[in-house]
Amino acid sequence: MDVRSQVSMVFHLDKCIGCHTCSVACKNIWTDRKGAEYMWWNNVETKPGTGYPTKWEDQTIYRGGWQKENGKVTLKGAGKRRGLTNIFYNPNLPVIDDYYEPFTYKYLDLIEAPEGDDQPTARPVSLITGEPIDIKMGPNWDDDLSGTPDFARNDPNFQNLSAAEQEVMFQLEKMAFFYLPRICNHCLNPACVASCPSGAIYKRGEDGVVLINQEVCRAWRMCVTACPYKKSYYNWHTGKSEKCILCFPRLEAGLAPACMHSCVGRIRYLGVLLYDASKIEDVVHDDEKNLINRHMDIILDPFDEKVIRAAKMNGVADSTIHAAQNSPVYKYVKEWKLALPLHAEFRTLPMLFYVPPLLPVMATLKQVDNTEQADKMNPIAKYWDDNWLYDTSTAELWGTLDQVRFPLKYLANMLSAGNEDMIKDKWKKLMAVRIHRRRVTVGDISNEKADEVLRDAGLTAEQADGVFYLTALAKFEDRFVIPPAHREQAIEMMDFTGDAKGEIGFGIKSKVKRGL
Amino acid sequence: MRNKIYKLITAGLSLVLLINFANAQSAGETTFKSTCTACHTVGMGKLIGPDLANVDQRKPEAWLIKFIKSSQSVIKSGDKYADSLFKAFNQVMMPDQALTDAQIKEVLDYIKTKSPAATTASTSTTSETATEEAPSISSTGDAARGKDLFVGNIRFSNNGPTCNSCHNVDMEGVISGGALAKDLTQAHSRLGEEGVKGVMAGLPFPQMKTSYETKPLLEQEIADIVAFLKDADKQASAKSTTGVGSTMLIGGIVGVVVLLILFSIFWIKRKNRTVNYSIYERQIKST
Repeated sequence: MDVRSQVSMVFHLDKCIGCHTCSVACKNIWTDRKGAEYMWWNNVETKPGTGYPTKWEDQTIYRGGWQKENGKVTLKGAGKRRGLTNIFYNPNLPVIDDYYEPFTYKYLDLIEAPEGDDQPTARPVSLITGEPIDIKMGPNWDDDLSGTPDFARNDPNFQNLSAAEQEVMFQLEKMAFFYLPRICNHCLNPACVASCPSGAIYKRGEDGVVLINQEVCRAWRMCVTACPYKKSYYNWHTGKSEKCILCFPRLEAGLAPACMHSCVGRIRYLGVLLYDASKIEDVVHDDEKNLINRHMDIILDPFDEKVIRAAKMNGVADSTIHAAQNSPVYKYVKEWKLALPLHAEFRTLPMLFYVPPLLPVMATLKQVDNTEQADKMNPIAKYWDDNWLYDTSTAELWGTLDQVRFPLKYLANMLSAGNEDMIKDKWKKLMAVRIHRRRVTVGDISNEKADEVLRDAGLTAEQADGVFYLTALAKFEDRFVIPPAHREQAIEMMDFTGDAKGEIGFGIKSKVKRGL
Repeated sequence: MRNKIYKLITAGLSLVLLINFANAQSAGETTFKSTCTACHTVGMGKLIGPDLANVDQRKPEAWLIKFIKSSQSVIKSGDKYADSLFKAFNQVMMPDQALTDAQIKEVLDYIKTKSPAATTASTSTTSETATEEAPSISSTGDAARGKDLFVGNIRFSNNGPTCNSCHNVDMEGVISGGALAKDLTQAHSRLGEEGVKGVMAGLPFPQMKTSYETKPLLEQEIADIVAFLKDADKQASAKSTTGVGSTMLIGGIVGVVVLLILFSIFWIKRKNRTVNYSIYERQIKST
């Protein structure tokens, strides 16, 4: 057992309102620079939709991630032979038009334009060329318009969905959609690290953050191709690739990453997971249908004494183990088994997990007679003449699951490598928590019925209360359990600190000029 | 005392003058022999430059003086006769002569005395006599030794500087020489055997003269170098006949096209346009 710690994340998609506050916070801190204008280390996508860059999930176009051939797992777009033949021209790179051409407006024209017959306008100009442009696209162009022919209908996750099933989704277009916020997954088997010819990318030992060393990067851009999530970006100004750094300077100071800190929907959770690194290779080589279950098996129980002992042998600090025991991510992923990795079939073992969205699925619209209720109301009160019921209740417990308006297959393609039962299992749990809480707070559901639901979903009443607490009431300290940095110990694992005496900071090679 | 000195000086001066007067007749001849014979004959046919017999009847004296002093300036001034001469003699430049007008006149006088009657000088006979009489050097040169001499593997017996310190010859197995003086690859066909010999024996070019005047080449050495230059010329002309000309250009273009086709087959699966191409194409454009 080779126990290591990883700062891991859970995004609760039911809670995301698609406000892009996370993206803006990230942009303001990290990518508001020349050459990085088009980058969104954090971006929010509307689903169904093609995402950013367009169709990033379609690896027949971008050839990212790993593939299993003859029992061997290799990089799809890189590797020795492919790398050598394409070393000077990387043929599957996304181009700027696949992302979007970044733009701003000439706001100064509004106040400085000479007097004339027309209202002055702020023309859009490209942030790359500085010339006026026609804005063709943005990082989430389709934002609240799911179902458009350009983007939603080209969603790669529609594979294996029948034409009729797809049509159902688009009949309800403009209603049935959800948001998918994405950052770097800080994978356990990162394709970007494997693809880099310069060895500039590494996974930090103490917390598993994947970083690109800007002093070693030689602009091969193999990581841009190799990352199936397209979360490595090439800075055309500095000539180096960049990616999400999980705000490690903030993490080391005990602060949550900017995107998580600023999230108004409070959908993001961050905590430590302990995992068994010796099993990674074995798991990566497993069949696609076993991938997620095996992935979950790697994550170890931080309360298990054997695990704790092995962790200490590996130099994992007590405080980190303690943080792992309180980790909200561990609860969501392992204890309640509510969260799933995005596109596990890419075989990178992503360490960012998503709680699948329930809301667009479970409710049905029903015509009811509300006159009796309306009569009871004071005439002064606003008269309620809406006879439609947004109904989430059902007589036979899981009835709505079978008549969902959002095909299960769609979410399964995204979050469980095509396994519908896995999504159904998560939905049952989410539904059971709601039914349980309805029994507690409203009391119109019988105890037998609620208990049956919980049993069916595989949750205890305490667990359901826990899910409810962490989903709806969690405070800052509950959502972000950040271990102390232990930066010094982490450095000592790699180097003798005496070598670095008189130097400063992280990753700075040149010595500081001292006064005198 | 003073008288004695004056007497001595006057006696010395008169002696010098006497000698000068005695040699006056042959002054033109000595100048001609030292500076002109490398390239010119009088009545014995062409060498590197034209036969100078009756040259005074072809052009006036003033023109001749100007030409001898600086042939290139006369050619550049647009003189047609000078230009045609230059072209007729393989565009070999006649070096400028640092002679005074008086000296040139002496030389011209000497030529006049040597010239046979203009009407009787037929070119065919003169050229025959030229080939008969001109080679005063044995022509049995050893090309291999000539090469060694040229490159400097063997020293000239009078310690003259090695040829390739200033001259270059393009030939396989011969190290590249200097670029200070004329490239001698085709010297043989340009000047002819006699011409090459003449240059080395007579030293008509000022730089050659300063280099070899006190360290003259031996006859055998000259013959060896001539043989070597003959070989070099032969090889160079054999090479130039295999020139590729336009086939190189056409071959290059065809090659590029073939390579491009191969590349486009090899990288046929590459992503060559944006995924959003069709969307962007449909969008309304302001310009």
